[in-house]
Amino acid sequence: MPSEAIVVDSVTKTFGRKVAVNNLSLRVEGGEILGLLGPNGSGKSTTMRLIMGIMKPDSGRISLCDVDVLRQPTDSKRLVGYVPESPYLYEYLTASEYLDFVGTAYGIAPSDRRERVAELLDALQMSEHVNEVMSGFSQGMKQKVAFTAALLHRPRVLVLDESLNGLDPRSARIIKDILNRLSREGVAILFSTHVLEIAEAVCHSIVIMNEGSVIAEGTAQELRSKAGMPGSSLEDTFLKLTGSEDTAKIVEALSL
Amino acid sequence: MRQATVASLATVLFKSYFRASRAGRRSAFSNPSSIYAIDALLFVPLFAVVWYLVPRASPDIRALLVPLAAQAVVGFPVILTSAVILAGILFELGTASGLASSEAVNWLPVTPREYVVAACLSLDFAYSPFLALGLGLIIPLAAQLGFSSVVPSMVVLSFVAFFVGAAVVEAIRSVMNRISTTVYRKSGRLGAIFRIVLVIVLFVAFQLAFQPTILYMALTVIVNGVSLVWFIPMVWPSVALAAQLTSDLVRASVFFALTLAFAFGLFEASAFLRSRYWSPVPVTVSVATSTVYVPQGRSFLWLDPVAYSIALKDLRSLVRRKEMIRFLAVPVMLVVVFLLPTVSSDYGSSALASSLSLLLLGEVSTILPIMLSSISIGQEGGSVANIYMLPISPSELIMGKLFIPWVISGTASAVVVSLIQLLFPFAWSQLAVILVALAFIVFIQGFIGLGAGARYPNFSLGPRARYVTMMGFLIAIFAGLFSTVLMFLPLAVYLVTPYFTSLGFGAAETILVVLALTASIGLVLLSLTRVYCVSGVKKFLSDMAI
Repeated sequence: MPSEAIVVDSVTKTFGRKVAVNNLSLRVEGGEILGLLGPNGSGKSTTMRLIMGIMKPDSGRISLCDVDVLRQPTDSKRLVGYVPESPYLYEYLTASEYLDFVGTAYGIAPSDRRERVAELLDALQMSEHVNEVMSGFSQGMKQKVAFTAALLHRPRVLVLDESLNGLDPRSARIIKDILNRLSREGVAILFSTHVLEIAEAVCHSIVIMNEGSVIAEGTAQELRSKAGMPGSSLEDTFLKLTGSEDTAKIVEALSL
Repeated sequence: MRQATVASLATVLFKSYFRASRAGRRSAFSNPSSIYAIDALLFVPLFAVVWYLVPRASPDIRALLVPLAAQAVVGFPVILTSAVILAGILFELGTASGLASSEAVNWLPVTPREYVVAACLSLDFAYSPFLALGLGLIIPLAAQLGFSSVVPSMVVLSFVAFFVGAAVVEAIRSVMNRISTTVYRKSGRLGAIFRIVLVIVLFVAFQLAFQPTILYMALTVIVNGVSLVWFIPMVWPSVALAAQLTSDLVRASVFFALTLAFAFGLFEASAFLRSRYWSPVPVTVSVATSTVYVPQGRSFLWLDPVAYSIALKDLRSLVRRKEMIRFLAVPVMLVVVFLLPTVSSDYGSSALASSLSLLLLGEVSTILPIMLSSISIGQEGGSVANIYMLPISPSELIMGKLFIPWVISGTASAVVVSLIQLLFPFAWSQLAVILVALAFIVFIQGFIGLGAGARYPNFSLGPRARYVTMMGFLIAIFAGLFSTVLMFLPLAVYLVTPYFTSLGFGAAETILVVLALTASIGLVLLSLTRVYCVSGVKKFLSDMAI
């Protein structure tokens, strides 16, 4: 596996006049868990969609394990697993039918597929729901199915867009353990979250985005030093770097 | 009933209809005030033009216009009811249960009766330009040709008929919800099949009850003074107006009152049905009784595993989603409502009947594949993200998406050809040309539909979801109809003119020439439409459209 599993090179994406991602460059190595932080609308989800190849950049280059995302979209998708913030499942299918569809698209042999689905759903306590139509699933259950779908083909790159939302503590813990294990096996993981404690606990390094650009990157400790707040929490560091440290004043101003 | 609540709810339902586009944009047409303006813009100029022109027409033309005006005055309310119900069946019953507007409000202090009135008003708002257009034409026509006394009644009854149509749609919607709930509780594959059959029967029954040909036949009877069908409530407004035209005021008053009573009764029935479905509890479909799912990892016919997997998913979508089942009902509806009046009418086995049958054949082989293929991308809704995320190539997506439309349309076309051949037999040589043309048409329309559906998808699953934008639908329909006309052109020339024999071909050679020409045109169109489809799907896959 190449050392740089995700390469984003000078990528820009605009929607009309709005610049969602501005000349962004990123590198994620195999085995690295990179946390992508930023306020709402900072361009995190757009960046992830660009990396997935489901959105076309205006300029720049993106590759996954040396496969160009724009030129070889089908090949690059074989390498990556993606869990969006809101899982888009075919709700009229059963979990088993949906995972079978996903497994077929990735080209996994039926016997391997069955084994893998059973293993993952069992770990996430979803085995008893495998033959139920997903329209009746809670948000957390849907998220577990989306996780299973993303991990089914043993991806070399994993992109998780705020995907621990809605999970119960046990499942969130299992996912974190799975991420750590995948990282040890050399899988590159790009992970966005608003829960800074999770970012600090799970990620090896962190990139903070604001208005489509990277404004800081490094380990949590390096970010604190850059912000001149060595003893502070990652939350305070984040707020200072993104220019939103006036939250206390805002709360005080509210006549609750 | 609180009028302010009803008005507010009607406005909300109306806005949600117009803003339920994929971009969720607000547009100039998404406010009731804009619709009022459009209504006025349609009504006033038309009224003025007709009002000005009719008195200036020559006596001959005026003599021709008088019976037409009488028929229009009498027929307009029934046509309105029929049009609203037809539009309702085609466009209004596609709301996903999870997004049904009733579920969005039934936890608020809104009664089912208030909801039904608001839903009917919102539906009538949406289609009010047709009412404005009709009244703008008929009022001045009637007034200038000596039917002034009937105009006030006609206007009132038109509004009532408009409301009746919306109330019927609302009743069907409630009944469909009941069917869905009952079947979900029973679950299982047998239950799903049961639901499909019930929905199709329901659609066909309602469609037959308001089929324009049948209504027209009824109207002709009424206008001719033989009120044999007075017992059908839908034609009561026309019976009342026909009676008023003949100065039979007692009969007119009775049927006027009966119309109002019927409208009220329908409203009560709709409210009752809606109340039975108020505050539904989310349900889970359990298919635990079925055996353990066996993964389908092998090829099927010419489909590779991925394309097969997409086709299987789409088939499940078609039979499991309430809002999709209507698309299965359409071919049945088309055949029944077209063949029944044709067979039962006087022209039985005449040339006209066989021409009409050819028209039906063209309709089934053209509209059905276009409809099914053009919605195949948009019906994915938000879940289309799966198509983008997974390693699916354009060719796999095309084959997977077109398999179901081709199979359903091909089967429907074969059934219609067989029926027609039984009822109004063609010569075997002509039948061979028809079969070749049909085979090409089904494939061509599939490519056109998917090409348009991929370029103009509408992923909105909200109220009145159509899955393809109006622009995409129009492009697909016009291109599809044009290609069907081209495909049947050699046969039409052969049947209508002696062109081929004038070139020196003998009888047997001529039909072979027609067959070869048909196949050649088919091959050219197939190549062109395939290119259109592939480029559309490639463009679609290159950038997420949602």
